[in-house]
Amino acid sequence: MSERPTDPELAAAIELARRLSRRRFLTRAGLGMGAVALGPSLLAACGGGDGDGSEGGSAGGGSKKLSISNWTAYIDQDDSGTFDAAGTTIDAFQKASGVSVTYKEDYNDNDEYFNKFFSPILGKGDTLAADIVVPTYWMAARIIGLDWVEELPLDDIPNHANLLDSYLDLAWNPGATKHMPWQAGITGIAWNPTLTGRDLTSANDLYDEEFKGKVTFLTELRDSVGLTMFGQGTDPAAADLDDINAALDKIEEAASSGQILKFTGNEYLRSLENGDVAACVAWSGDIAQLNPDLGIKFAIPEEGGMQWFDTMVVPKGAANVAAAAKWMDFVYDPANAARITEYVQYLSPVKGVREALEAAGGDAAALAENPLLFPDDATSSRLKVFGELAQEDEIAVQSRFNDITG
Amino acid sequence: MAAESSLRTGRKAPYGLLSPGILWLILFFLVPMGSLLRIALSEKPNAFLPDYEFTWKWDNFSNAIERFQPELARSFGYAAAATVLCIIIGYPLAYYLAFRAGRWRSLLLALIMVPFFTSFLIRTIAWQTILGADGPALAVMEVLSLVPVTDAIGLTTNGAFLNTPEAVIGGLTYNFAPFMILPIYVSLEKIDPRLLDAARDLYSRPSEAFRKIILPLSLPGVFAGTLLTFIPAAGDFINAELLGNVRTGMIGSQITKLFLRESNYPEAAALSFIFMAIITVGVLLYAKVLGTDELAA
Repeated sequence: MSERPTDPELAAAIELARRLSRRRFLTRAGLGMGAVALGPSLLAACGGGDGDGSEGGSAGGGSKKLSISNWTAYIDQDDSGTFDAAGTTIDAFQKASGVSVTYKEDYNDNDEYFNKFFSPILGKGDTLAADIVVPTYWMAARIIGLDWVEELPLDDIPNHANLLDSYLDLAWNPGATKHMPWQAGITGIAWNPTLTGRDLTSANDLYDEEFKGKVTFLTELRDSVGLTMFGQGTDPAAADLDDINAALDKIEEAASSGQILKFTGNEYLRSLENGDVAACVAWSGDIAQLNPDLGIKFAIPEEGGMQWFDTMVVPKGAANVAAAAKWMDFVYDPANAARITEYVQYLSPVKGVREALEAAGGDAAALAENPLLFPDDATSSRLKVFGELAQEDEIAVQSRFNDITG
Repeated sequence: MAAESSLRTGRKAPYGLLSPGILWLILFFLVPMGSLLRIALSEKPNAFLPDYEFTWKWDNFSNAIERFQPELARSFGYAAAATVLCIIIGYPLAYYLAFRAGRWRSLLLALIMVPFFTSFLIRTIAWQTILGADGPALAVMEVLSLVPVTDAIGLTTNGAFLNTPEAVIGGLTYNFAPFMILPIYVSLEKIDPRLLDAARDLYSRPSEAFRKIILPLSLPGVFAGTLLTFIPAAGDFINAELLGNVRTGMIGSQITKLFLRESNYPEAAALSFIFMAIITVGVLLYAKVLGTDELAA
């Protein structure tokens, strides 16, 4: 999903701030969240949310247990941050399947997870504790390319048919036989109208000298470079090395001239809320979580926006492949997928979610009309996924980008 | 004979007493250092795979120096500025605590420590709020119409406190000040008040007594405080990350990036070594200038 600070304590602090702001919004939106409960959410934020749910009969078959590592705030939970509270998706799955789920929000950063877990563990032929991990698409492509991922038992996942067609023809895994997308999102531009004094429409508006020193970009390479490429009229999906370097030239100049204040992970939300930043590269779901009173606006630039998705994979040698298949099938049921969408407010890769939300009525039905959750065809045609890079190019581009981000 | 053998055991005893420390040093310092040095001289044939090849690749060091010169300079510059500020703020405070605070001393000492019961990160994030565009610091300056003045003297940039080099140095100063105050306080507190009485009896002016008695006797505290402040401040990257901008990155975040983003363990290890080497040389020079042998006595 997004780059998070690498320090666990810092991540916990920011996550706490996020939970609180998120809850504020959900309460406002009347989605049935109760009063703010600071204590438990503080504990949940610091504790990483592991160990919830009873372990059940530990000796019972290979597939009575399932361990999932996901990003934070990426599945429905109750006010205290309990993932398997009554009525949640995990609770419903445990009851329907008899599988006991250990759900951890410990996937904080693609590169970090790669260098701490994927590479040193899977790269040596050992197995991870998690049965399902949810990397972003380019990281999924990388580990699928390295053959560190299990083939999915599609026969046991009939709901795989509910995957939106656009995910089936990706070059790195045609037919999506080794991954199932979890949520998708859009990278666009966000701004504070009281500071900008106007609405932004173009990716180049981020380079407008009027906002000098009040613009942030994301440390996520593909988001910052992709939007800049749109502004330059080049195609991020083609991922041509010269075009990428031209975009990096532009970003580098803006960073050294002081146009770009800093490159951030999720912290950009705070800066935007506090008025330290006027305009920035932003993720669609994040802006949906902000307090509407702040008047922060989000748009997909007229030249185009970046689309990304995080996707479920089963790491090589995982102990509970059958239970993982049951879980994937369960969350690809439109009714279950709609419950998750209602909470996380990102784009669902599952067919029929919109109809399920409409059928639910009330606030859920309003979400079905949200163009950032269900972009129309005209919008969809402006969205692109960053193209694949060869390994050497990826390392070279990433290291140049790291030098620019300071 | 008997005298000689007792002398011999007498010589061995100190080593026996040292052994837990030496064991600790070997296990948790020398062994990790050795493996870090090994990685620093290795090559990773494939960045995505976990294997290294030890090839005496000294290039890692020259590459790291070439690439991270600005960050190295910045780290030591910011740390030096913060250390000097800590002395300027900390010395008078410690002096007051040691000589003037009287019965308030314990309370004031506690007040210095209390904020540090909160996490380092939470305190730094709090500074974002204090210094931010909506924060109280800027509000006060705006009410007093002082923003152009602070802009002119470089305290703010374009009317903002936050995300400036000054904010980073300020954050470092704030976070490490107690490590300066406490050692200075301890060394001042140890000074025998009769020395000052004697100075007065001998018609010394207070300023002279300070210069000739208090200052020299408190230098060990300043020395210890400087080490405790400068070294962690130079390695810190939280302040730069939270309070700085794209042009204030320090060496800690570059090492993290090399490890976690580029999977370039060898260069990250080399950069860590360079950083440690510079600090070691700096500390030795500093100790020489201040003459620790004399101070220790």
